[in-house]
Amino acid sequence: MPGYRSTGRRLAALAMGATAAVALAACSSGGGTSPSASTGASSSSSASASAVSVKAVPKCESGADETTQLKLGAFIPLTGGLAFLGPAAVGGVDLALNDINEAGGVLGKDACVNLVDSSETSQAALSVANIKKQLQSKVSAIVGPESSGVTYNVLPTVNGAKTVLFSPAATDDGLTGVSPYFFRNPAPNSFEASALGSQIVADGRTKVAFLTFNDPYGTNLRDGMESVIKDSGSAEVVYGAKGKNQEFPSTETNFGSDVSAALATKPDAIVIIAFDQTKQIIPALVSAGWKMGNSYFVDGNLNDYSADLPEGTLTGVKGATQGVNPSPELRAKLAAAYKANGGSSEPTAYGYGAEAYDASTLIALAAEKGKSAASEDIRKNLPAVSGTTGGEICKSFSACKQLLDDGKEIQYQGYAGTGPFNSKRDISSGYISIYQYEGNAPSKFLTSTKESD
Amino acid sequence: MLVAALGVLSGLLLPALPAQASSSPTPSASSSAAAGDSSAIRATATCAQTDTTACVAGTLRDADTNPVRGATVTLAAGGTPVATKTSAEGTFSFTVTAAGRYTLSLDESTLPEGLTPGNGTERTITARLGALSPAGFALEGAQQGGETDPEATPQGDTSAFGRFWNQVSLGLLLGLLLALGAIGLSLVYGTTGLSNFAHAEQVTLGGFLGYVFAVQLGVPFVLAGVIVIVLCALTGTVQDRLIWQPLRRRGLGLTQLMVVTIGLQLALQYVYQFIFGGGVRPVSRTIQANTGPLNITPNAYIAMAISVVVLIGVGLLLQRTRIGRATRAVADNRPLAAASGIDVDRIIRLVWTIAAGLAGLAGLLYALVYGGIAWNTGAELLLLLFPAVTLGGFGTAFGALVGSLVIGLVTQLSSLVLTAQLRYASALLILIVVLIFRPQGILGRRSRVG
Repeated sequence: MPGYRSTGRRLAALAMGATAAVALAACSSGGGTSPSASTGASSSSSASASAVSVKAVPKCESGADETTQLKLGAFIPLTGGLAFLGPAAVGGVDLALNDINEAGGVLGKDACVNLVDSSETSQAALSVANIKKQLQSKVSAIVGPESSGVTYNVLPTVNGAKTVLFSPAATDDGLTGVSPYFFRNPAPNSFEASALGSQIVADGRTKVAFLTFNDPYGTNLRDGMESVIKDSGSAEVVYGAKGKNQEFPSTETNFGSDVSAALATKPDAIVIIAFDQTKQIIPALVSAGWKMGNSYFVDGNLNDYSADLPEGTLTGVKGATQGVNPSPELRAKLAAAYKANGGSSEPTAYGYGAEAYDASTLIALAAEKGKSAASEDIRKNLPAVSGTTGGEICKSFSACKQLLDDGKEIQYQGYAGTGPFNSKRDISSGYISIYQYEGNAPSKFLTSTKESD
Repeated sequence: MLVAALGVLSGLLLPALPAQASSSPTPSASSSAAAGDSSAIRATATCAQTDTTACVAGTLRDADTNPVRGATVTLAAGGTPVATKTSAEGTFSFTVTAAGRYTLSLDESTLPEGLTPGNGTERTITARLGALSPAGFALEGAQQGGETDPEATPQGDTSAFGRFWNQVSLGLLLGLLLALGAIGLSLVYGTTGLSNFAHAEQVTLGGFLGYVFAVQLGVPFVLAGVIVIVLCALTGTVQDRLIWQPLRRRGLGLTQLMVVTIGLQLALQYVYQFIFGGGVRPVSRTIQANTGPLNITPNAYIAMAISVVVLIGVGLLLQRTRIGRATRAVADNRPLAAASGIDVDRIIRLVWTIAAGLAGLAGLLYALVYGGIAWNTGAELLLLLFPAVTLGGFGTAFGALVGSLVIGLVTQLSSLVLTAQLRYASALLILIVVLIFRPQGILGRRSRVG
């Protein structure tokens, strides 16, 4: 990185790289390999700056009654390709339980945690065995997993046990409404498509080309953006539109042909929807004379490319990613909570930590509202505490509990700023952030937009 | 609403806002007009939507994508319309405090000379609180002497001949790189009769070693290339000593040997994935501009030249030298060659060494020209290498060249008429058609078949 950049910027850039890697990894339903865990490994040392006191959360005793005490299962990747996401999620759950217990616990008792490894998609047997172990020790509800693929693998088991599974990171569209016990709070891909499509039109682009890899993630995002672009009346899709069969196979290794076909349509903007193939698409585009500043990336490739590309290649490129970037304060707290509960080092990535915190708090509030920590009661009350009954807005467990004790309806709004659940138990509104590249890192935050369904 | 979320964002927003304010032009119409009592519209220099405001924004550009300055845009929702002029960057934006439908109109008379609206001058915009509602007008024509955006001017030769020639050059490039990878496959088959499925993993190895030496260790590229070729060649030698020679001595059939190569292929792929991860690794951080008659990068020309020289060199080696004649003797009849005093094991080891070294070179150049190497790059290439060798004729160096060029050209040219997704399918169809009429391949010798 160049010397002129301030330390704060540098940290923001590093953190952004980490967040982007998180988004990338969590959105691929495969999850077997994390294409760029290396960028996620760039640690943000800002987290260690302030001293935050967080106490250890008690571990659950397997004999304890899960209907009178909140026994929260944490089903989080500690091994496998998404393991780098684990610390922030563990920190999110533990920090939430710490705040809950400081406010008097749930149903008058300290909430406890039962952490097991969710592993990765390719380790289905291990994931299922671990969650069975967790279910046998009687948990009230489970926060996790991070990968859509692992979610699919364990859903039958969780459904059989009639236990709430609340994912802070699974974004696959196919998981919408898949089970009455499955809740989630990351912003879905459709929100990102809407926000980025709007940005493209607002930037005055009129001829948009899509370089999309042929995968449900890629084509879903493309379809969403395409409809925003078409509806604008001012812009059109000139290459890679739906039904044109111009997507490239996800195993493609040379892009000269795709690039020349796209450029032959004279686009004024190119959206690259891909994972790590982006590293090969960029040189092909630049060699052909394309000015990269007219390009747009998605969460799957909004990474730091400083180690791969000549300095300044990507300046001006804009890209979208889900959620809000956790603030330095929240990062410090997540790191402290992770360490207080046995974590050995700083988390290297913070994405989805806020969502894990909110998921845990919502579960605790649902238990408070139903005066029972039984999973069935939590399931029934989760929509209400998220705000479906039009309750009063509150931003912490203690404030929300106070309102509940007064017999009021509530709407919990936590760190991730998501709206109430819809009827399919997805969030009805959430935030998408747009970043811009300075040099080869998406370090300049442009705007956050609130998207809803 | 959502103050907590904004608090989270504020750390990022605050440093960003002053920068935006200082770089943005003065708004020409910042008077707020209340249309009704709730739908206040304000023209703002930039708008960052909050939870209580919505943003209606757009950018005017001419057909050359240069920004259009000073055009008047008006937003209305029943009450008094609010007008603003586009900035030097062509941008305009309104902040509104009520969600709902608004009418945006463009004053055609304020457009610079030569520009006309492409699709009407009125838009209905639905504003959503907290979100950006984009608004745009496609303009036809280019302005004279107006602002020019240095980032504008996307390129591309759109003429039919331009496209054709472009695909021909991409096809030649791909074909020559494939030939470099294919020749080792062909040689090993020619001397031992073995179809080596793990050959493409030797190609991948070349790319990864290039990444290790040229990028990670910072060795100058040419020197790194030499190191890579030597190391890859050594893996060929060692491989033959440890695996193929013992298996030959035990008299394993070709089918069993082929299964061993498939096992080795998968094992190597997962080892690469374990060491280098699932991502793409570059062998060079530089990007060159396309140039010259073929409109490809200088590195690509060099790669093509290396490929041609190496292929001719190997071809001549086989035909003109003692070693070459010995190799062909082993290929034609191994017991006879052995009986006439040729050290068969030594020849075969030499062939493995050359094959692995050339595969490494091919991987290095492939990664250089196409922007990087991944654990599965070789596996994808193998699907083109086998057809190339089969098409050209197994066991001949020039056959590998001809077959690879055909495959390269067909895959690239087919995308002129077929969808890009069928480009490899078309090459394989050509393969089948050719083999029906010439089962020995284009340059293969008839005697080897049957």
